[in-house]
Amino acid sequence: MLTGDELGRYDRQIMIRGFGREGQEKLKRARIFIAGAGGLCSAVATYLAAAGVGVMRIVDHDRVELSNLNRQVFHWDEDLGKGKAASAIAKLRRLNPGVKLEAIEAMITGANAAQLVSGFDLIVDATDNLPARFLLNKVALQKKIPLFHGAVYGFEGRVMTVLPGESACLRCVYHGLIPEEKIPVIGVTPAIVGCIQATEVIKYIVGMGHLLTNRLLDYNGLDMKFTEFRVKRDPDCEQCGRSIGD
Amino acid sequence: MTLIVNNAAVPSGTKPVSIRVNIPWFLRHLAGGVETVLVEGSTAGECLEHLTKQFPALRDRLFDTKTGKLLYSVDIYVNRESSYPELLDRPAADGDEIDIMFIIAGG
Repeated sequence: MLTGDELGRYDRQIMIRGFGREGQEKLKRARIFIAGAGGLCSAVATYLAAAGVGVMRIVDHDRVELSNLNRQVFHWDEDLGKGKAASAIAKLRRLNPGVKLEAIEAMITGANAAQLVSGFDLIVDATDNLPARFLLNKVALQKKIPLFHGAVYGFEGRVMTVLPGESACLRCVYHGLIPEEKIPVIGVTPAIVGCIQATEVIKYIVGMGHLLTNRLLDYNGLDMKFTEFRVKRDPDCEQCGRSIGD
Repeated sequence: MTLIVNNAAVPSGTKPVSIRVNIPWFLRHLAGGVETVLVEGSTAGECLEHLTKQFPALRDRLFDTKTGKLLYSVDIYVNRESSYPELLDRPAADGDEIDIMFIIAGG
């Protein structure tokens, strides 16, 4: 049930045809897990908080460094040295006090991932490395929790939505690994990619539109092109294939 | 010699071809600065072979220098569709468009 304040606060989105009070109530009930409190999270969590989701848990083990500040706009000069998850939550509380927020300063590992995402309706992949992404993908598949993937490199970004048992997973798309390295990136790229992730999350929760399932959306900021690539479930996928079962 | 036509690299002295390879933005400096290169070939592998003959500096960014195999970090899309698991054996024909996709993982 929405309060009078909530009806006022979310009036403009409740007005959207097909969204309505019902959509807003769905958002209010939504419990969202966000892995990573960097550049992608800065956009995703900001717009999910503004939209009025119910609960967000943000997990990151890193602390704010000077070199983060060109793109991770959650973190300001005064936050240098602070935990990233806590820094993010502090800003979100000021943005929308109606959202229940939780910061966890931890590295997501094979030992704790299932427990960390337990009780959440969906997972936002806002991490900064491939092993963590594959781990989240695996846990999402095992627990049948939708995964909203986003990644960036320089002026390029990609987005894909994974519905476990229904659509191609991250491991169906990326078969190899890449060496860990310092990744070049300009702040506008995770801002754009994170906003697309947030759009996907809102659509999924409210039940509107067409999700980026079996579609990998590539954003090239230099050419200013969005290109959609078709992907499909790999029957031999090591994380969602025949040998694993649905 | 390579000509640039409509921002695509066209190798001179070859018959007209219409398979386009889109070059990732961060490798364009190794391909004459162009977005797209026109190539010949009946498979994705032959097309990439032709590409790297025109621009040899691309070879070790796409292929393992020891084994000659496509790098694990590279995927090939033909007409916007993943070529996996065929990868380099995926057939290609006139009018096709090939995208070289590197894994990206920054956040």
